[in-house]
Order: sequence, then structure tokens, then C-alpha cells
Amino acid sequence: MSTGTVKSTKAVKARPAMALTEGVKAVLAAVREGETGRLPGLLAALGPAERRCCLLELKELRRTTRGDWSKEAGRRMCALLVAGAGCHLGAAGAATWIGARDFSGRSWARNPALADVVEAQPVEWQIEVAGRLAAKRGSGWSWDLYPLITRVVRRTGCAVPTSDDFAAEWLRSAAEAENGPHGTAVTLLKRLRADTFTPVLLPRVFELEDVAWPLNAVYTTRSGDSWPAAIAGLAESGDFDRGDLVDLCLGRLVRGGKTADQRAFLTVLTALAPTPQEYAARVRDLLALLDGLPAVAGHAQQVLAGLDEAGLVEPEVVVEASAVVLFRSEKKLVRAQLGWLEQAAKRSPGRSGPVVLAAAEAFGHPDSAIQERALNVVARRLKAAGEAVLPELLLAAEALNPAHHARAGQLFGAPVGGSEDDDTAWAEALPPAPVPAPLGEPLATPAEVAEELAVLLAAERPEVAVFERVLDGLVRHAHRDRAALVKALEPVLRANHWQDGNRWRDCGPADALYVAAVLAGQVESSRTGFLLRRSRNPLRGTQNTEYGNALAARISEAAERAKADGPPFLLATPTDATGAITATALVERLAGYEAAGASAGPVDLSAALLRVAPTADPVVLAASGRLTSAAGRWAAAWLRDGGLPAQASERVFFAPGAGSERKRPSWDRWWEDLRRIAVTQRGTAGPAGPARERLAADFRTLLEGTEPSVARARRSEEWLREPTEHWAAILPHHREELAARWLDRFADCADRERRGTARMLVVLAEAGGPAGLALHLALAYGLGARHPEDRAAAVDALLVLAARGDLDGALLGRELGELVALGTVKPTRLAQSLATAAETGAHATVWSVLSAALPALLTGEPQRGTADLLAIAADTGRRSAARGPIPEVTATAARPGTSRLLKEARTLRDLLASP
Amino acid sequence: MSQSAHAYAYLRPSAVLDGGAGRRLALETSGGTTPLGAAAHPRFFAGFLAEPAPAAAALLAVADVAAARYYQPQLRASLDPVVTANGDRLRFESFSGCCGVYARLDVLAAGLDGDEIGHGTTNVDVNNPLREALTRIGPAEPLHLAVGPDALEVTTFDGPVVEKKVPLPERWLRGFAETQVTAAGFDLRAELPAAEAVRFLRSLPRGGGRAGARVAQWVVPAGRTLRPTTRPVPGAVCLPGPERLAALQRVLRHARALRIYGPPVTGSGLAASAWEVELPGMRLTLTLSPDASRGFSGEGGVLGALATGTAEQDADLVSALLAWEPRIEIAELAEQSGLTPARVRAALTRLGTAGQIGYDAAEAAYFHRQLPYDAGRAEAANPRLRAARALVAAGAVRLEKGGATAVVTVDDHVQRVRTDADGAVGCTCLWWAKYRGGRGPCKHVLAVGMVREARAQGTADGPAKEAAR
Repeated sequence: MSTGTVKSTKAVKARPAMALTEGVKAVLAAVREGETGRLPGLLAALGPAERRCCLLELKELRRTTRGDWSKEAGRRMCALLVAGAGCHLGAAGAATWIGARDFSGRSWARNPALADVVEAQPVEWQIEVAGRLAAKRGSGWSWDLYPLITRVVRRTGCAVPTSDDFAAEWLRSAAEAENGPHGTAVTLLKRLRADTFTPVLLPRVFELEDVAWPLNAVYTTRSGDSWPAAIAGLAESGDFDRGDLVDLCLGRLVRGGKTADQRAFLTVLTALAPTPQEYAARVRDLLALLDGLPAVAGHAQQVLAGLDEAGLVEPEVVVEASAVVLFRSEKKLVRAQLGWLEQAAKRSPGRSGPVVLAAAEAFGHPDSAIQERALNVVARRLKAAGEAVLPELLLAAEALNPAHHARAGQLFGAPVGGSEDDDTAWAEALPPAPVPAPLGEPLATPAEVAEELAVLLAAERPEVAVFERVLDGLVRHAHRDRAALVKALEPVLRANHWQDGNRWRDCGPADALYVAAVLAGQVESSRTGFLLRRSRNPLRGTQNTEYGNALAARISEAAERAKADGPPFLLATPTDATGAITATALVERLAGYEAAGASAGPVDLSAALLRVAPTADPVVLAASGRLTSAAGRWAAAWLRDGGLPAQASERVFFAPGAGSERKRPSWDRWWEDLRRIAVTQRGTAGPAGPARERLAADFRTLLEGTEPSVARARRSEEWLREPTEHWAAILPHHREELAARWLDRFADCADRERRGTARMLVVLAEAGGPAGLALHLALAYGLGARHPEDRAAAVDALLVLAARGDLDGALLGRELGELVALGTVKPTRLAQSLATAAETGAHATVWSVLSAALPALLTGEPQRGTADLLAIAADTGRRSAARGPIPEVTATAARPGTSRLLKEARTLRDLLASP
Repeated sequence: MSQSAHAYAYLRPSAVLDGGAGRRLALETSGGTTPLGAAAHPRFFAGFLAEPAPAAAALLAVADVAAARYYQPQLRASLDPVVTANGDRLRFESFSGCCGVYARLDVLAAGLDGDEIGHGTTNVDVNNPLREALTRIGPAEPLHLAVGPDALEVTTFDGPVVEKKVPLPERWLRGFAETQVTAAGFDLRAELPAAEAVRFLRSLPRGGGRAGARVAQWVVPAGRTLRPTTRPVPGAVCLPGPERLAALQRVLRHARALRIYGPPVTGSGLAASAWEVELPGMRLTLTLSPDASRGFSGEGGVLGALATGTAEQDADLVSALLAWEPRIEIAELAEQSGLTPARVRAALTRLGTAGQIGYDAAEAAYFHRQLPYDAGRAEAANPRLRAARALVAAGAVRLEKGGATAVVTVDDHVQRVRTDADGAVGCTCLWWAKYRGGRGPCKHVLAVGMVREARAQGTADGPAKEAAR
């Protein structure tokens, strides 16, 4: 940088000094010193040739000053801007200079000297420059060039620029001046009336985007001191044609746009307050608005209804409006529309025919209460409408909720819902039970290992298959031809250095890189071979989780053995992506080890035993019995005895309450409010082998007993403890154990609004092992999760469990009822989850859950959203032909009142009581 | 990023005019080509729209996409829609400024009632008064449509009165062309009846950009509807950036069915998808790129075809045979040109990159159109292709012993490109590691392919010369 400066200074000096007159030198000196204030005077003394010459020097100076952020350089840039504006003879060059980005940094364009210099230029030059600058894009919030352009335009009286940015800046600055330090007494309206820009720029305002903020601002409480009021004032005073303004505003609303803008222009429209006659002349605009933003549509609806009442519009308008509004999902608008329809029919009974047909549009509305309301309107007007409308009404009535079919049938004189049979004959539709994806063949060449390692390192969330195949591939090819492997790995190792040193993260799949680095000799020998001396193992940082430790044990053993004796392959590589190994594959691998004379690594063997699928196949068991090595005999015994026993979950209530653990600071007491249902498990060390072998220590840790506690809840809070597929793949046949240990994280999704862990529910649903209380509780928390993607994952898991026949609907329902009663799960969220599941056809599944949850849901004060749950219960119960009364439902249904909850309860009671 | 400018010149603004014979929608045209050659203001159709209100709403949806940016929306986008007359239908196409959403409205013969439909492609003007007028169109009155001025009007006008000059980014052009290549791999995945379609589309989130909405979304057909799911189970369709389907809200009231097209699920990668709303006599399709932040231009699906020179002559031959067919029959073309169907397909891919081919997933067929932009060179200047040519020219590619692997030296590091016996390739670079070929080959793979091809042809200096050009 400094050398560059030196060079260019030399270049300047090398030019003939004769060319620089005294005047030019003075200007340049002032610029170098940053004395902007002196420039207008100095520049005035220069002739055209001098200015040209000066400009060359200025350009040079600008180039060397650019990028220098010192205070002096800032002053110099300001002076350069002003001097350049004065020296440019051509307008195009001047506009480029003034509008350049390196001059726009610190409001230098607002320096009064610039305005003076520009003013000293010829008028045509000024007009041209102002026009060009106005066409440039502004920076958004404040545009430093705006005052300069405005000054030129106002002084010369030239055409007002109409670019978007110029108009937007005019809109904003009109407010700024008003709010200035002196607090002038002139309102915005008065200023606009006096402003010569107003006739040109006001119509442009209706075409701008992102103008809600200035339009909504209220500067003072005086009338006419906000934009809507000022625009209305201009229409009133006759400065502007009122009709034009109404047209512009309606046009803008019709075009649509961002919500905030639409609301702002709606304010302008209400300030203009068009008369009924003015509105009546613009009926098509109003009809178009009915399809817009709810607030805008509501306004248009109100106006149209008023016009209809006054007889100012054609009677068909109500029909056309109804077709649009009744299709909308907003209940408020639909209710208002039904009200308008009824009024219209009341006023002139002759219109009853079209009115009832229009109202029938609402039969297909998603809300059952709206359907009922529409049915009521039709019922009241049916007599006046005559019989001609009945066939069409019958057709429309098919869209009604089955709860209203009977009444519609009575009204219209023919049975409605002939397709009822389809509803009850609806077979339970569940997604096919997932088949675990096979892991794929082992990596065949060193080049593939290198590629997959690159994939593993680049992935945000590496797949189990990628990690396991890379780990196995590294060991496999180190055994086969280590030199070739190291050569193939070179490009990847060059791009991804093994980072040794203090680790602040957990050991994860990406640490497979360690194996590659060890093989390539990139890890100091003092940092390898510490399989047993844990404190010096580079994969075991202080932040490691127990799952990370288990991974670290596998990776470091693989590295050490690949470097030393080189086993032909790994035993613990799963055969499918859940982490499971088929018994056949494990027996084959152990036989392969025996044939090659290799000994099994203790960690590798432990990992493999925990992953092997239990089997009762006599052929496999017999084959395992023929294994002779120590590892083989243990594996045979493991398979014979059924392997690791499942741990039973015991239900406990966890609510630490205020005052426990007093020593914690106030900000670390979030757990005081927790009220959760949780489980305890006793723990196990796993069965010992025939020669008293035990599972590796890192795996025994995973199987230790667990119970909810403040300490565990606080530990789960750490971001490192986000469970991954790789953790689940350590114990692919023990999902209940995993669910019990991760329950805090799942509960966080519901009562602490944490995002993300629920996605592991699907992984657990697809994993093996019994599904007990812990897994059902985890699912319950997931179904009541705060974030929609978590609920979607929980619904996935629910359907997968149901499809695999592992779901205990009654258990899940009971726990959900309890959790809702505790306030941990919100009924509104649960309703969304269960509605999604029900819509896909899993009616019997959802009913099995809801029927068990209803007693708890209806005991005590019902929470918001309970009515939705009852509606889903009624729907799924009807489709799965549920019978037999539920006492709590009967009791609720018997309570007096007409709330939606009671109505839905009555529907459900009637359904359950039907034969 | 390189970009040129495009100038539109319309005789007058498009407008809805009230005349004695009812209302007329006059869409003005600018530039483009017809079977007779380049035209300044071609006319393709004059007649009535069978369903005015749905047609107006669908046209607005196409215009919405043309003016939208679903990613980094603070930047502006304002390119006019493209209309193609295929003899039996009119197709209105637009491409969002973020290069991630492609919209097409096919007005089929059933939706039109009038003169013969012409042949050719051009731009149509869309302006604010037109938008307002289209929104105001009610269901009752008939609406006359004219695409382009009639011959008399052209001669009586002194010259164009609407001239717009807009930037034409190269990546926008590339993406527009490349959408077709992506769509050609789609199959029908789900079909929803009207009521379910409305319910599903209404349930989608409207706003984008929130941290929570950035999670990959999939939907899977279940029962009569679609269920959102968190993973790509078999049969699922990727729905990345669901807020990008907002333009469909306009036509919801007129929808008769919703059809969804997508590629078969492979792995966990994001994928593109097409969402087609059936309207009376029309189809409105939105094709979404695999991520809101990922435009079609970077998908690289055609780079392999472009890197090799064989398809070029075939493409010239095939393009001479095309005349705005609504469905391109590959077998027929093969017969006419004397090429094998495989070579015709490759030639069509190449024509697609030059904007000369579109793909209609509903018909599962290509159709002919010529984008009214100078699109020919856009793809050739693809950054990855340029980089690959530079590598070849620098002699950075060295084939290793056995031929299965090759080493590409880039600056101070090397990448190894592997080629299987069955033609599958892989590379050690980060691009490959991230997308595994899902976004086209990386520059290393392309460079190795060029060198291999040159070897096979026995002219080792071929690609180097080409790169030097």
C-alpha cells in the first residue's frame, strides 16, 4: 500500500510542472489539506483548460486516497468530491464523479461547498447532472445527493425527476423537514400545497414499494400533518382532482403488494373517504379488492354491503362478491358475508333464490361452525327461494361436514351424504413400514475412500452410511496397500488438516479424518497410541459427551490398529443405515478374522455386539458355535443368550419446583418451572462373555441407569448434546433406552420451545427394540412441540410406529392427556399434529390416541384448542366406526351452553351412542 | 457477474380496452422470431378467452413471478414474460429474478375461441394499469384477447412508444434455459382434487426468510392429500421454500386440480419440483429450484453435454427441423434427421441451453420455442465450463496409469478424478463432496472429460485450441 503511494507521487512529479498554473496548484493544495471550504473561491478563478488539467491531478489523488480510512483522508475525499464537481466540464463525467460509490461514504455530498460549486456551473450542466444523479439508485434510508438535486431543480425550474428513488426520498424528506429542530408551524398539508414537486411526485407515491413507514408516520397531532390527512386535504382544497386520487389509491390497492404497504394505502383511502356515489362508480375495483389482504377485503366488503343497501349497485353484485368472499378461509369475513346475504334477502324477498345459492358456497368452508351458519341462512330463506333451488343446494350440501348431513337432508328433502359409506369404509391408511436402507458395498478402491472422506468432511450432517463406510474403508485399504491409500488421500488431507490441540467440541463422525492423518503420518507420535491413557487421547476433549467418547474409542482404536497390525476390515460396520448388523454378517466377519489370523479389537467387538440383531435362526446360531477364537466364542454366547437385555422404564413425575438447589444464580433457575412426566431406568453392564469379558468401558457408560434430575436437565441444555443418527446407531436395538436418556431434549421441544431434537423421533421409530413408556413419552412431547417442523417429524414417527405395529395408542393418549393437564403440551399444537395424521387416513390410529386422552382433556377447565381436538375425535371416530360412550364426553355434552366445545362434544356423544 | 442489457420496444402499452364490442385485452409484443424469421411486433392470436376471470388471474400469476425475487428480495427484477404460440396453444412463460422459480401458463385450445393460433415466440408487455385491469375482470363478461398488433396497426403507428431497457444477467438467461433440462427428469408424483389442493396450498407458510422456515421440506402423497414430512421417503416431493408458491394463490378459486411433478428421490439431497394447477382450459405450472438460495443457473445439468463437441452439429441439424411444434416427437425427428434417438436427445439438451426448447411435464414432451434473447452464448460462458477449459489449456490434467484416475493440478494443490468402468465419476474437491454430482460435474471432472475426448479423437491439442478461442 505504501509503496503504491510512493510510486504514484513520483508519477505526478514526473509530469511537466509547467502545465500546473498557480490557480491549479492552490486548488490541489487545498484538496490535499482537505480544506473544502476554500474550494468554491479557488475553483471560480480557473479557466476551462486549467480545470481539465486539474481534473487529471484530482483523479490521480483520488486513486491514491481511496481505501485510506484515516481522518485526513476522509477530509481529502470530501475536498476531492467538491473539486471534481467543479473541474468536470462535461455533465456525464460530473454525474459519474459525484455519484461515485467511494464518495458516498460519509455524507460528504451534503457539504455546502458542493452546492456552491455546482451552482457556479452553467445551468444546462446543472440540469443534466441533476437529472443523471436522480436516475441513479439511492441507498435506501437516506440519500445524501437528494438535497443537491432538489436545490438544482428548484432553482433552475427544470423538469422534476420522477425516478422511484427520487419520489421515495421526497416522501421521506417531506416528513424530516417538518420534524426539524426548529419545529416549524407549517403542517405537511401546507407544505405540499406550496411545493412545486407535489403535482409531479404525488401520483408517483402510489407506485412506490416499501413506503408504509413514511405514510404511517404521524408528525404532530395537528390535522393535515400526516400523509393520509395531507393527501385528503389536497383533494378537499381542489389542488388535486379528487377522483384521480381515489382512482390512484384504489388502483394501488387492486394491484396488491406487501402487507404493510397495503395497510398504509388503505389508511390513505379511508382518509380520502370516498362518497357512496364515488364508490358506486368504482364497483369493479371494490370487487377486485375482495380477493386481497383481509383488512382491505373487509373494507371493500363493508362498502359494498352499504352500497347494496342503498340500492346504488346492481343486485348481482352480492352474488359475485359472495363467490369470492365465501371461498376465503377468514371466518370473520365469511360471517360478515353471510350476514350481508341474509340482509339482502330480508330487504327484498325476491332475491332469496340467488341469495341461498350464493350462501351455499360456504358449505365447503373448512370450519364446521361456519357451515352451520350458512345452513341456517339457507334454512331461513328457503321458503322464499322456492323449490327451484333445491337440486343445486343438494349438490352443494355434499361438501358439508357429515355432522350436518342429517339436517341438510331434512331441509332439502332428500338424503345428503350418499357417499357416507365411503367414509366409514375408509381403510386405515398408513405409510408402508420403512425398510432400512442397506449400507452398500465396502469401498472398493483407495480413490473412493478419499472421495467419501471428502464427502464426510463437507457434509453438515453426515450420514451414518458415509461415516461407517469411510472408517471401514480406511482400515480395509490400510491393510491392503497402505502406500496406495495414503497417495489417494493426499488431495483430501491437503484441504482438510487434522487439527490437533485443545478441543471445544464433541467427537463426531468427521473425526474419521484422524485415522487418515495417522496413516499419512501427520499426527505426532506422542498423540497416537493413547487408547488407554484417555487424558492424552486427541479425540477426547473435556467437552465430550458419552456418545462422543464411544465414537472416539472406536476411531482411535481403528487408527491405532490400522497403523500397526492392520486388521482386514472392521467388525462393527453396520449392514444397514440404522446401525444394525445382521447376525449372519457378524458371524461371517468373525470367521474371516479367524481365517486371516487377526484378533478382534476390544472396542470394535463391543460395538459390534451392541449392534448385532438378535436372531433365533438355528443356521446362524450353529455357524456361530463353530467359531473358535475368544471373540467368536463371546459372540456365539451373546447371540445364543439374546444379547443385551432391554431395560424397563418406570414412570416418574419430575417437577423440581422453586427453592430446590438454592445455590444457583437466578438466571440459572429455568428448571424450577418444569413439570414433566419422565422415566427412570435401572441400568445394566451388559452380559459378560464366557471368559468373563466385559463390554468396553465407554459403552458400559451408555447403559448406566438414568433418572430425571436438575443436573441431567441442565446438562441436556448444552448444545453439544444434540442427539444424532450416529448416536442412535450405537444402540440400534435399544431405542427405549435412548429415548429415556434423551427425554429432556424431547420435552424441551414442547415446554421450552427448543427446535430440532424431535427429528430424532423418526430415527427411533425406525430403530429396533421394544417401544415402551419412554419412547411414547418422547413422541407425546414431539406431537406437542412448539415448532411445526418438529411436529411434522413427530407425526412421521407416529405413523411409522403405527405402521410397524409398535404403537400403543392408549398409552400415548393417556400420557398426552396428562401432559395437557400439566400445561406442558398445548392442545392447539397437539390438534395440528393429530389433524395432519388424520388427514392422511390414519383415522383409527388417531382415534385410539384421542379416545384415551379425552378423559383427562375434559376433566377440569378445558384449555384453548380442546374443541379442535374434539372435532378431530368426532371425525376420526366416525370414520373408524367407534362406539361406546366415554363418560367425560357425555358429561361435557350435557352441560348447558352453545360454545363450540360443547357442540363438538355433543356430536361425539351422539356418534358414540349410535348403534 | 457479467450482464448485458435487453431493450424492449412495444408499439403501445398492453391494456384492457373497452370498446363497442365488449372488452379487449390487447397484449403488445416486442421482438422475437416466427417461422418467417425475426419480427418486431409479431401477432399470434386474436379471439375470445373461454374463461376470462381464471385466464386473467393466471396471467397475473405469471407476471408476478416475472417481477419477483424470492431470495434477496431487496434487489429488483423486472423482465417481461415470454409468449410462445405453438399452433394449437399459447404459452406464457416467466422466470423470477432470483433464478429460482419458473412459471408457465399453457392456454390450451379449449381455453381459446378465435382465429388460428400462430407460431413463434416474443415478449409481452406488462404494466401497472394492465395489472389493475386484469384484477378487475369479472366472471361474467366475455373478454377478447389479441396477442400482438394486427398488420394495419403496425403500419399506421409511427414507431414504438414504449421502450424499456433492462439488465439481462447471464445467470438469469442460463437458468431460464436450464429449467427445461431439470424438468425433463420429472414424473407425476401426486394429484389432488380441487378441495384438497386449496386446503394444501393455503396451509403453506406465506413469509420466507425466518430461521425456522429454512428447514428442508418434503411432502408425500397420503390419502387424498399431501402430508408434510421431514425426510425424503420414497415417493416424496421436495418443497423447498414453499413461500415461492405464493403466485398460485391468485388462481386458487379457479383451480380444478393440483398435479405435482418431481424427480425420483435419491439420497437426502434437495430436488426441484413442478406444481401444476389445472384451470378451465389452461394449466399454470410453477417449477421451483432445489433451494430458494439456489438458482437453476448453477445446477449444471447440461455441462457434460456442452463440454464435448459432438452434439453441436447435431443440434444445428435438429434446430433446422423445428417449427414451433407443441410436442416434439423424438422418433419423428430422428427419422427426419437421420440421427439416432439418443443423439437427437443430446441435441435437444444442447438446444435447450440456447433457449430453443421448453419442456412440458404434463405432456412429458419438449416443445419448440426460441427465447427472444441472445441466449446462444450464455451457456458457453458458464463459469465452470470456462474454468475447465482454462485447466485443459494450462495442461493441468494428467491421466494416471491404468486410466481409471486422473490428477488435476490447480494452483498449489491437486484433485483426483476417478472414472469407473461404467462411466460413473467422482472427484476429491469440495464441490463434488458437497453435491456428489447433483449439481452437475465440477470443473475438474469436466476438464478430465475434455482431455479424454481429445485423446479418443487423437487430437490432443483440440481442446487447448478451443480454449484459446
